[in-house]
Amino acid sequence: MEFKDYYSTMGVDPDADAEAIKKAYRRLARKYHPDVSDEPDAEERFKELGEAYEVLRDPEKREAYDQLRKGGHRPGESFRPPPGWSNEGFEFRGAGGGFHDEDLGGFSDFFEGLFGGARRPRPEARRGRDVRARIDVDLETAYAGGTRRISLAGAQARTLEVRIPPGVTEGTRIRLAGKGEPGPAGAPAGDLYLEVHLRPHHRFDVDERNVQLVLPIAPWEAALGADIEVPTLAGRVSMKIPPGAASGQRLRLRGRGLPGSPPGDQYVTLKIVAPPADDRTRALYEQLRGASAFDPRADLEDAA
Amino acid sequence: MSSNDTTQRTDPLEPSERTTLDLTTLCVVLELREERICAWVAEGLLRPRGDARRDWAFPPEQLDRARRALRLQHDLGLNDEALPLVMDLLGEVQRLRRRVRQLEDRFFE
Repeated sequence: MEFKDYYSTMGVDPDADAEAIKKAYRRLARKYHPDVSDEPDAEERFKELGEAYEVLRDPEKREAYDQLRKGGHRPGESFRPPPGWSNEGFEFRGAGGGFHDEDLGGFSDFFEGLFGGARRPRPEARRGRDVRARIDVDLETAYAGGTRRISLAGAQARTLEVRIPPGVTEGTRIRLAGKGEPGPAGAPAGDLYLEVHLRPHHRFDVDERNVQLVLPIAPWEAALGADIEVPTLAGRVSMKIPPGAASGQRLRLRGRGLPGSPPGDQYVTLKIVAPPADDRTRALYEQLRGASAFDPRADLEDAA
Repeated sequence: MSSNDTTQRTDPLEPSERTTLDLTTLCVVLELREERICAWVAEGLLRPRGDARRDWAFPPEQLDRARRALRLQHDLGLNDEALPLVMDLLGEVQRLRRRVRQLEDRFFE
């Protein structure tokens, strides 16, 4: 096993007092706590942090560790507990409830070699670890449900086919009980949590359960109003464009987003597109210019 | 497990049902006293379905939320007053992270 430098893990001096160590723990825990952090290696870092803190916060363990450290051991160097070392009699924080107790595996071999097992095996805790993975889902499947095949990497590499219920959104967790890591010695396996990631759609943008669509319309449709067939996830629906509609205006199709309780809405953003000027439209544009006093840049005049 | 086993499977795996819990059961699962949960509901930290206390129903995501709150409190040393704010802000950060990820996906598509 490798000798670990708990002081550098926590970023404190070897002579730091208990208060400084506690502060350093809190500061790093805020950064790397898996419930808070977006860092890809948050779990690993938080696990190392928890182990370092477990040693340095406890005067007895810290004293024992400091002795070894003063004995000339260097971080990363191969290490065995000295002859006569006993890892019995060290106490561990009792009351659980934190991330370490629930979700992270035990401490390192180095720690367990020095101080014994930190994990008092509670009966209900004797199961395999939960596993998390990401699953990419296209928007059509998120809307209607369906099945997806997912390949898991790592020690339990395998391929699973999973039913996706209708109405999943970005970040939805799908739980597959008993499909996590196998439990130790015949104990039940952990669960597999698949976190849904929606694939970008060529037409719709999604925010939570709401679906957004940019709808191109002709100038006369905007000016005069129109009934237009609009694509939704459930197929085309007719939508009324009010006369005098503006580019960028947002209209809502209630309940046409992803299903759920309540279901999401579809927002339609109007985008007025001018027809290209060919010989026929050119004459009409010239007519319009003559007849209209419209100044699209009226708002910019003051600034000049 | 060899890779051959998986190709023979015909039925896709169904997501596991997770049941909705009433107040008493939630207290047992979380090992918390009833007053604590009631205070959390009053502060808006938990949002059960149902109005009267005896009708409260906590869907699975509320259990996850309560567990996350307890972990944060335990690991970061948050006090009861700060916890609801931290949970709300974390929720908002998560939503914004998801949103940014989606928009980036679209942008770099």
